[in-house]
Amino acid sequence: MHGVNIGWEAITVMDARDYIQEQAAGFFGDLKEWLSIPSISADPGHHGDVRASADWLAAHLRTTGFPQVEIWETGTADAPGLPAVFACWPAADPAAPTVCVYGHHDVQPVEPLSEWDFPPFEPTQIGDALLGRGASDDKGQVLLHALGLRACLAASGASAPPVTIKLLIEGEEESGSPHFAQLLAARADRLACDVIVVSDTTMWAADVPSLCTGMRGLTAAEITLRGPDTDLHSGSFGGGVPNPVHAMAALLAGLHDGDGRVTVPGFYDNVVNLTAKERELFARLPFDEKAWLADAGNSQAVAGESGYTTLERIWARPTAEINGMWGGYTGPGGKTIVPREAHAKVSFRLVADQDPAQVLAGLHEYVAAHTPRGIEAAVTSEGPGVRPSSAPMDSPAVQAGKRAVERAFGTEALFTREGGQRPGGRSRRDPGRPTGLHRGWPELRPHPRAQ
Amino acid sequence: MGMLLKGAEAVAYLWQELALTAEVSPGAGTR
Repeated sequence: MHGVNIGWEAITVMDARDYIQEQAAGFFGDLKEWLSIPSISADPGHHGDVRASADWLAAHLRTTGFPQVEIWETGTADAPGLPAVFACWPAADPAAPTVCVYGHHDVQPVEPLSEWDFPPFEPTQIGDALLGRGASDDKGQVLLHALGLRACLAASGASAPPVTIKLLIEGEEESGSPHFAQLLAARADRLACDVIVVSDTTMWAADVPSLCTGMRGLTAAEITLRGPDTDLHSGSFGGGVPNPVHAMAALLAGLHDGDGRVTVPGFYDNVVNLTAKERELFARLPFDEKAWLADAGNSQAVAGESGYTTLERIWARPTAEINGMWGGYTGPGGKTIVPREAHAKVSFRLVADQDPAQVLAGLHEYVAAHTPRGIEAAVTSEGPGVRPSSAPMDSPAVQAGKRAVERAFGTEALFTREGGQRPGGRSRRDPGRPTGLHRGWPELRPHPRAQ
Repeated sequence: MGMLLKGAEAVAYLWQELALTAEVSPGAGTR
């Protein structure tokens, strides 16, 4: 399957930009070949393709010149996961810093096929856009690292990069990264680094180059309130016993105060507030609120925590969301009961330096304090949640990234964050933390399902 | 497609810039 269209052999000193232009046709030939592998991790029927995708990438990176290329299996023998690809190219200078680049080689499902204008695994060029499943999420971003590294070598005439470069390219990102934390823990020694580059975010716009410096984390829980042993007739008991649905409504309504701030105890204790500089730079992004509202399911108005702009709310402020609530009688007609129980699912988007476990502990405390006498409350959650990640804009690594982007694009680079999260997010104040740096590219997708 | 090539170029410069950034080095407190 693997064919390499770029001739890496000729290493001569030349301008990086000229080198890249010279290699462009071969680069896109290789990318199209990789994009034709339907590496859909969520579909067991395509797991063989995810393995083929890992094999293709490993072969490509070996051809690129990486002296260490390994396919890392995930999961267990009884319950195998899908493979990641690891590669390392040590710097000539052992004192040089080490950079680890994260990306993924699996792609999202393609259904419904009727919404595609062309077969999703037959990459198609429309204008300057290369369209196909995975083109901008995330195979294009991964593959450009190989080309960029060769361009760096061509520009210096060196046979090894100026920093040690590690690539960790996951194969399960689009299906929830079920084994990623385990993989990071098991391979911590091989992945040690000074800087992390996440090459799986979006750039603000084609003419507004940007670097993403943070992603929100996540934790979630289900709340159950129980009252009487059985549904009661309201004519006989209504008004005389606590109603779990009433209690749930009050409990959920109290999750935010009048300013839209979350009332869970200790919720904001570890939040790193935006600096004036960060707010100023966010404000310089050309943000069209009307278009954003249209993209937000034609929402009719913005809403959220007082004192913050929409971008600040969705990127850099933590939230509590009620995802669903149910209880009592919801069938046709009426049924005059005092229901025996009520349920709700809630989730919290977190920012640095919030800890998912601490937020959940605060939720337990909140629910206990807001449960009326006669009602039993239970709060359950699955998994450890995802820690937020953030890198200070003024950190040396982020500033180096800014200079690099500005050299390439010839214009000022701005900063963004993302409201979602990537697996294995770490807070910037973790002991032994590397500096995170998220680099992203605009989504090259005139069709919403073409990426 | 032009954006991917710009990205590759930025990557090439990023390794250069990081190598020149004295604060980003093993033992400088960021590992």
